[in-house]
Amino acid sequence: MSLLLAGLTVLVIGDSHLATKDYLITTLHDELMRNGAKVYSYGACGTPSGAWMKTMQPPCGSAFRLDDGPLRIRAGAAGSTKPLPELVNLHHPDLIVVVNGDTMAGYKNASLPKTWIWHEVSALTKGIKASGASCVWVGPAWGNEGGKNGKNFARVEAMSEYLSDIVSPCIYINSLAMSKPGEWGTLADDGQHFTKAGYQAWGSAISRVIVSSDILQKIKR
Amino acid sequence: MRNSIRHLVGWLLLSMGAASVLAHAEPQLYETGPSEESSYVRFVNATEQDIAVISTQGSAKVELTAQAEGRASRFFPVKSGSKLSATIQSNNRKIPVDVVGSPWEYITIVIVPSGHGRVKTKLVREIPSDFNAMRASLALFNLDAQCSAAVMQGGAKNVTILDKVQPFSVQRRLVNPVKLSASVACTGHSGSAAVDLSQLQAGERYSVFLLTLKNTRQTFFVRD
Repeated sequence: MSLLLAGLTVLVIGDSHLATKDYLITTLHDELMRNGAKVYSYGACGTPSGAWMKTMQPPCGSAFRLDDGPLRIRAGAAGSTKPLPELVNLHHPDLIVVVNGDTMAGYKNASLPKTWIWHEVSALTKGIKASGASCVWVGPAWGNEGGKNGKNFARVEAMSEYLSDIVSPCIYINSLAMSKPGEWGTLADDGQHFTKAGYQAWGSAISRVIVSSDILQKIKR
Repeated sequence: MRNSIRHLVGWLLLSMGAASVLAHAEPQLYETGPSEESSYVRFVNATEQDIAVISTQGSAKVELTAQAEGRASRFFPVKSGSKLSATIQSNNRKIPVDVVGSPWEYITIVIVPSGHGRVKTKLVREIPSDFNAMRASLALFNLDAQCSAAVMQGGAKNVTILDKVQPFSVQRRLVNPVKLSASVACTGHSGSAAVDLSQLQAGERYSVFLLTLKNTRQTFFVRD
C-alpha cells in the first residue's frame, strides 16, 4: 500500500501490452490496486496514441478491466474502444497512465517516423490536458531483437528518447532504465511481447516508479 | 474406413480449434508505423489582394485575405507522392499550381506578385524533425526576393534568433516558451519590421513571414 496512491483513481490506457491476460493489464493493474488505487485499464492492440481520441476497432482486439472486476477480452467490432473523453467522464481519474510506444516505432521502417508520431502523441496529450488529470507516459521496454515485429535495440532507444521530448505534460517513464537489453524474456519469434515473468517484472517496475514519482505529491496536494 | 475418416476429421477440427486458441493467446502481427506516408501543404498570400485557392479534385475553396494571419491557410495533409492540383484565383485571373510532396514534407505554397496585377507561386519546402512538447518551434520564412539574408532578433537582450535566411527559404529552431517580441530585418538594409508573438506555448509551432509590399517591409506570424 502506498500512502500517495491510496484513494486515487487511475485510468490506464495502452496498446497490445494491455490487451492479453498476464500482460500489463494483469500485472500493472494488480500492482496499482495493491498500492491502494482504484484502477481502470483499457488495452487496444496495435493502435497508435491518437486512436484513443476516437472510437476505433483495433486491428487485433482489445481488453478492459474495471477495478477488481474480471478481465474482459473483445475481438472484431465488439472490441471497439471508447475515446478518452468518454473514459474520463466514466471514471474521473486523478491520474492517467499511458503505455504506448512500440506501435509507433516503425521497427520495419528505414527511419523513425517522427512527424507521424508527433501528430499521434500530440492528439492524445491535448486530450489529456483538456481532461485536467495528471499523467505519466510509459515508454517501450527493450524486448529482444528480431522476431516478426522487427524490434531492435537501436530503434527502441531512439523511440524512447523521442517520446521523452514530446509527451509533456505527461511525465515520461523510461522503461529502458528498468532492465538490461534482452533481460526480460519475450515470446518465441516475437521480440516485443514478454513472457509472464517479463510482464510481471515490467508491471512491478512501472508501479514502483509511479509510486515514487513527484506527480503523486502534486496530486495529493 | 468411414469411422477412420470421421476420427481424422474430428482430430483436424480439434487441432484447428487448439490453433485458434493459441492464436488468440498472443497479439497478432500489426503495423508498428504509419499505414501511409503523408505530406502537408498550406497556402500563403504574399500579395496585396485577397486570393482564393480552389482544389482541382473537389469543390474545396480556401480564401486568403491580405491581412496578417488571414494570409495563411492551415496545413492540409495529403498523401505523399501523389499530385495535389489547385487553381489560384486573383483579380479574376486563374493560375494552376501542382505539387508533389515527399514523405513528411511540409510545403508552403506562396503566392507572390509578378507585375501588372498578375501573381505567381513559389514553393518553400521543409522536412522538420525538431518536434518537442516542452519548447516552442520558431521559423522564419523569407518571402522577399530582394532580401538576400533575413535575420530575426528578439528577447530582452535582442539576440539573433535566426539569420541568413535566403529568399523563399525557411530556417527553424526551438526556443523556450517565453513571451517574445522580435524584429525581422534584411542584412545590409536599414530598418526592420516588428512582430509580437506574445506568450509562446510549449509544443506549439510558429511561422514568422517576412514580405515587402509597396516598398514596405512587413511581417506576420501564424501557429502552424
